[in-house]
Amino acid sequence: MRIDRALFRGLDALRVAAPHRSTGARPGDRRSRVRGRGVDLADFRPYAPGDDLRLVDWSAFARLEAVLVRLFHEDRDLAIAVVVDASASMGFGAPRKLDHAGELAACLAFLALRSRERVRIAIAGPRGGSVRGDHAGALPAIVRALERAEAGGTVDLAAALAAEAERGRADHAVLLTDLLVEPEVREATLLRLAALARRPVLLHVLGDCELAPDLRDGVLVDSETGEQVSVRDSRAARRDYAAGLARWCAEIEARCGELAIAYAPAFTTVPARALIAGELRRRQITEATRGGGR
Amino acid sequence: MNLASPWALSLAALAVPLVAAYLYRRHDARRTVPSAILLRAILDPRPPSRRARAQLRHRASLALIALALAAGILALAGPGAGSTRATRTVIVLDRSASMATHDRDGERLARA
Repeated sequence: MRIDRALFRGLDALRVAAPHRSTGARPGDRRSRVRGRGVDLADFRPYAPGDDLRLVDWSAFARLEAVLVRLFHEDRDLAIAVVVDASASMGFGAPRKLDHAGELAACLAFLALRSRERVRIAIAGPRGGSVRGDHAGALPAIVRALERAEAGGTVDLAAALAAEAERGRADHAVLLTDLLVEPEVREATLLRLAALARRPVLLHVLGDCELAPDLRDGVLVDSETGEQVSVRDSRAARRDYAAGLARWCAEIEARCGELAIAYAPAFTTVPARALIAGELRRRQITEATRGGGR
Repeated sequence: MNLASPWALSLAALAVPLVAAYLYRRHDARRTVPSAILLRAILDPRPPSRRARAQLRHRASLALIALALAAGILALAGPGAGSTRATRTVIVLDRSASMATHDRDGERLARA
């Protein structure tokens, strides 16, 4: 796969949305829970020995005869973890679902690195691996890692998310997958995703092979499990498939809602850049930078 | 037995694509798909006995179509009982007044 660098054109005015306060340790642009030095006043507290005298509110002392120090909201950075499913099922579709997921992950990395945030990309698959960056210069290495990704075999997404949790703290965790797994595996994956970060996000990557599959007579063989399903092409079969697909997507979205996971369909029918600036922004997964966007 | 139109027997070749189409349908072409999970919504819910009856109906329909094709070809070929049978030919002469007209080549009725 080749990720065209023109993909990032027009995304300059966006960044990853952060509805929660950052828990980052490094200075950044996101409001954090930490109170100390900053710009926006948060609170006052009585002076204690060792406090910086520059923080004493002398006007309050003149009015109240109490020595109070000013506390400010500190701005910290965000840590974003992105996990890309590279199981065999992601290798299907035109364009391939894995290529589409790679482009979305590259766009998210671009948004994060432009805002001086830390990003980790993990590829869960046969040629998997992890790459991280905290400045704009790290983007080429991340893009190359995504370009090298190959789809194949089965992937234990819950284990991949657990491994990601061990790599370090993350404010945002974004999982890009088609989630074509058994219900119990899906549940374990969603639970693990919900526990990985304060802002878990599921980008549900489906392609034409799911949205408009070839249902002509024959035996259809599962690429990962080898399960065989005999189908007879008919109007009723197509109707039942469409209803089943809608029900399945609705179930996943509802379960994500229960687990406070931000869900967004990321179908290959819409280009990655349009998704980042459109659907993901509507769902408050991305947002305009201060003074940018519309 | 002789055939009035033996060429019609060549139409029996039509049976080849017919049978091939039926066999292909029965053979069930295999295709690899990302996952079978979504396809379970369209699994054939009929019990095995009903599926067996459907297969029987399928084979019976092939036999009936083949039989109809054979009957059609046979009719076109025009089978006869033997080679010595006389052939009846009817000749009709027009004796209307206009036939008495004399053309450059003579009377029309005489030429007829």
